[in-house]
Amino acid sequence: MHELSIAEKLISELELSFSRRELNKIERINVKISEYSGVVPESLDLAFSALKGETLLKKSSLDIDIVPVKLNCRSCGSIMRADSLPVLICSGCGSNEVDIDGEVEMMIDSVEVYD
Amino acid sequence: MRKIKVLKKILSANDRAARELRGIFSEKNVFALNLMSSPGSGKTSLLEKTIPSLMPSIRSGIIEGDITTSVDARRLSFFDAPVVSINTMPFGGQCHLEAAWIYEAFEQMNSNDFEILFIENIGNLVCPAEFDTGSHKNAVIISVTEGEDKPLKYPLAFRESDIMVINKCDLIDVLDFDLPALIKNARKINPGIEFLTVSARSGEGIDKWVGWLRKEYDILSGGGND
Repeated sequence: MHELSIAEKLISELELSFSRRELNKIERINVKISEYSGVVPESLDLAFSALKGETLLKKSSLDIDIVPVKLNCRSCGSIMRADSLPVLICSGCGSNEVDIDGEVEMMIDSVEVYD
Repeated sequence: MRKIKVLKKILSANDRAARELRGIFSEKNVFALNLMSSPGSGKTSLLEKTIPSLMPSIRSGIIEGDITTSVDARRLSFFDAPVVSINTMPFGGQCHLEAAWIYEAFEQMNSNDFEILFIENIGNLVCPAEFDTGSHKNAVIISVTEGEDKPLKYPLAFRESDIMVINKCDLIDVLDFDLPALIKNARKINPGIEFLTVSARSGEGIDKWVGWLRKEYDILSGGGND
């Protein structure tokens, strides 16, 4: 249940990025989460709902977008969407010498505010 | 409604703390190893065999993560090695360790007392893999009483690990455990992962594990001429 601490960190990152007045106006938080991470979107949403009441984000909701994993093949150089997760292999040449493009990360992409 | 781009990593505070901590470990010539596994794979038993085998040339320090109780820390307190326990209950019973908590625990230790710091993460293969602890390397411990398909079920932990230590190998014959299948599955997730088979009970393979730890410490401390 690390979604609870991920929700806590999400809130504190937003509290660092925006003023109290701005936080109050946030209606929606758009989050991007890699398909390869172990996060369960429903659990993150539940954790966020449980925590937001105590914060200035109480009126906001979470929109979680699961980002497909992209692979760079070290053998043939192609870039592709990983289609055999959790196994990471190149769909072009079949090599398993592949790197995940970018990091397996969780990102706050944007917020939507009322003006 | 107005959209404002944020583009911030949710775990950026932990990532920053972990990077800083890794720098401190290196500066103090301490090789930090994060141990991840399911509950009951034998992390603490493995450390009980490892710590005396590394002595006297390499001394160990241990940060012991548990949701509650200090049973594991007590088990390890019989060795001449500093042990600091982190209970995550005050942090909401979290199932992983974070860099900031490890930083605090490390500050309670005298880094001149040890060359290797073992960070025994909470027994769990999902959550710890998401949080950088600041360690130089990650080891995943799996025992042969678990399934050969663990790497496929918990890919991130195996992807993030440098070495897989396969414990309880003295039980392989009784269990019909398919060792080649486990290795194949782990390599499907992480082609570069090293592996070792050990038994913390019989002591089998501990010499190779200790050899790996010595090699890693030597690399960190600049070829062993410290």
